[in-house]
Amino acid sequence: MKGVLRTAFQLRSRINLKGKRGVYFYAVLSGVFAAFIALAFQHATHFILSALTSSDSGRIVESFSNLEYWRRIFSLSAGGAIAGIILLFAAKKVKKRPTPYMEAISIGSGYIPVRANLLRSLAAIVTIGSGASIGREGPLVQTVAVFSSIFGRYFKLSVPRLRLLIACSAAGAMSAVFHTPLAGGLFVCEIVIGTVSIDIIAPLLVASCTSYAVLNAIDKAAPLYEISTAHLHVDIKILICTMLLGICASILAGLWLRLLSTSRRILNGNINFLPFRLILAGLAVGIISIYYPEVTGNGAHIIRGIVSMDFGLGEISAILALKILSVVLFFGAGAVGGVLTPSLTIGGVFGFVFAHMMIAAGVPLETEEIIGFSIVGMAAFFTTAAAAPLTSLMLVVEFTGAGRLIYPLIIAVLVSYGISILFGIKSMYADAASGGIKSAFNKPLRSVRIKDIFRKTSDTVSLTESFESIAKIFLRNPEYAIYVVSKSNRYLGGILRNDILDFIKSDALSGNVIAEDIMRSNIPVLQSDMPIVDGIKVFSENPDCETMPIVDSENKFYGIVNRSDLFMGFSEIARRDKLEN
Amino acid sequence: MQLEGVEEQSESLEHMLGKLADDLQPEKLSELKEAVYSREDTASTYLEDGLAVPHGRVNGLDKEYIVVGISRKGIDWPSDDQKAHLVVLIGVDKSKVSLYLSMLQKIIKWKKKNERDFFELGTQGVHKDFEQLFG
Repeated sequence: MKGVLRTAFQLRSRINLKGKRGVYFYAVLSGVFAAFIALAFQHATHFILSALTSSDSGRIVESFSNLEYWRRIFSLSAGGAIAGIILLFAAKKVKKRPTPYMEAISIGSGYIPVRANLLRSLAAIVTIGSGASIGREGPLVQTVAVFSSIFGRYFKLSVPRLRLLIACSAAGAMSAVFHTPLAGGLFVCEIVIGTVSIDIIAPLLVASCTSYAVLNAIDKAAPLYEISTAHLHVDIKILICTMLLGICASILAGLWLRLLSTSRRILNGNINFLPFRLILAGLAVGIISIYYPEVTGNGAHIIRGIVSMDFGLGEISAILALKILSVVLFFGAGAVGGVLTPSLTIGGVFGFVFAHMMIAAGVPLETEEIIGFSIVGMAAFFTTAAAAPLTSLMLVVEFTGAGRLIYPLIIAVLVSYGISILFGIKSMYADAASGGIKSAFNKPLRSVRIKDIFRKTSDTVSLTESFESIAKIFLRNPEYAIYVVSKSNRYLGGILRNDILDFIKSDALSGNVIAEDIMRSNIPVLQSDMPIVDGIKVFSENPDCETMPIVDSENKFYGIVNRSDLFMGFSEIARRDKLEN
Repeated sequence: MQLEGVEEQSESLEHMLGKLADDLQPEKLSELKEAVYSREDTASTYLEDGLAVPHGRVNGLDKEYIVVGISRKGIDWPSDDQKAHLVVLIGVDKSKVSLYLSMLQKIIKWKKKNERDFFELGTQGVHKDFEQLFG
């Protein structure tokens, strides 16, 4: 019986959710969660679209094409007005500012204020559902991240683990939006966290693949823009054209980023006028949509159009110019939405135009090569826009299924990335991932303290706590140790799981032993103000310790730190520190 | 050992700790004494049915020490307002938590099995049983 109990307890210890392996459980959970939120978000935007356009197609451009002219203008303006009022309310009535998920993951503590962010999500649903020329990926990922942050904080996860949980949910959400499990994980790793390593990308991929699987189980998650006709022969002509496209797309992306930031600076002024600005943006884009309904929505319709060669050169050039104008108007006016899909659209259209320019210059190109250049243009443009070559490559390959284009894609992406570095082009995500509240993950390694990485825990007991209560705590939560504190919260010692493992179900001991009888006072202790590097040293000198207690200068119990959390935090900060220096 | 004539808890503890004087260095004995009294201050070591297990965990004890005392009249165990008829004093090294728990478990089980028969067993009989229990 004792053997069975020991095995059961050890098994339970192995699946300790706060331990190293627990992160994969959270990753799976994040993936499931992200898929459902993505579906809910999509249904919510469809509901708004249906209410404003009386169309059940769920496709913005299609709905707008069948709409009376006045209703096109009304839908976009009404959406702008409602979203503006919600955002104004959030700015005036909610004290905490909304923290972008990128900031919470990359430099923050994983804390994302709930009300401010959910109000922004609501505003985004209205804006996107009303047909605004903006992407849904940003607000959707943000919404998923808010819920993950709540979940992680409820379970008192440490800062590194909470950030990883949010990162997993963001990867799951990206995978759900674009049906791209690999690019979903890469997006978060490369763009948000800023480093690609196996210990980080593995849980992200678990989350994104889970999300993709859930989405497939509910609804078929085929590639968004499946293209079977695209092809680029690998010869010197195509190679030169591809490199040229990479250079041009990168320069254009740089101009696009400058246009976006300028529009935000000029158009996004006094918060009190936000509803009016969004109404005006809606009015302007509504009028454009009378002639070109393709400017509405995130641009997915345009991408589908170019890959099926629905547009002529003149028409697509006009659409490109008006699409840029529409996105700039909404983005500049302060609408909540993503610019990822609009950026891909612009890149795709540019690739299409570039191919026609090559033909005009005397380079003979087949139809499948024109489509191929559109896809390459998309990847090259997004590489500079997001400063993320790997993500761009995989995103485009996954959502077009154009694996045959991998070689020209790599060339274009590398060239584009090189140009962006050469000209010092700042990614469109740079501000979101670097502004606002600073945490340990944005400090130089030398100034990061143990208290920046700690985990709060309620599992402390008094000297007189009964063995029965202690055993129950271990059974509920098989941590490495439970710590003993005085009435004034002074740290006294720790009770090790392994010391009492064989006696955990002993009736004889349950009421007859107290914490003091089984407490060890020689467990290594970390000071809250100790540099993280010194903490690593203490852990290295005590290889059997899974967790260590943290005390403040008055020896008051501060929290605990896990070996895996400390090493995870250390390696991430050290890598970033190294990259920045 | 027989604790007849001893009525107070402190007196019984002194007697029992005194038994260890030959086996322990004076400073270790002093440390053990301090640990036993300190533990008694935190919470009573009177367990149940006349059994008390005063104990102390001290750094650097080379082995575990047990002294068993029996009193028909009983010893006042103040904080529990009970009389202890069987007092088992334990001294173990501070790091040997599992050993301490194992010893305590054996003592409690033995006591449950023997109820008040230990009076009949007498000091010699109890010592014999404990020698068997703890090797």
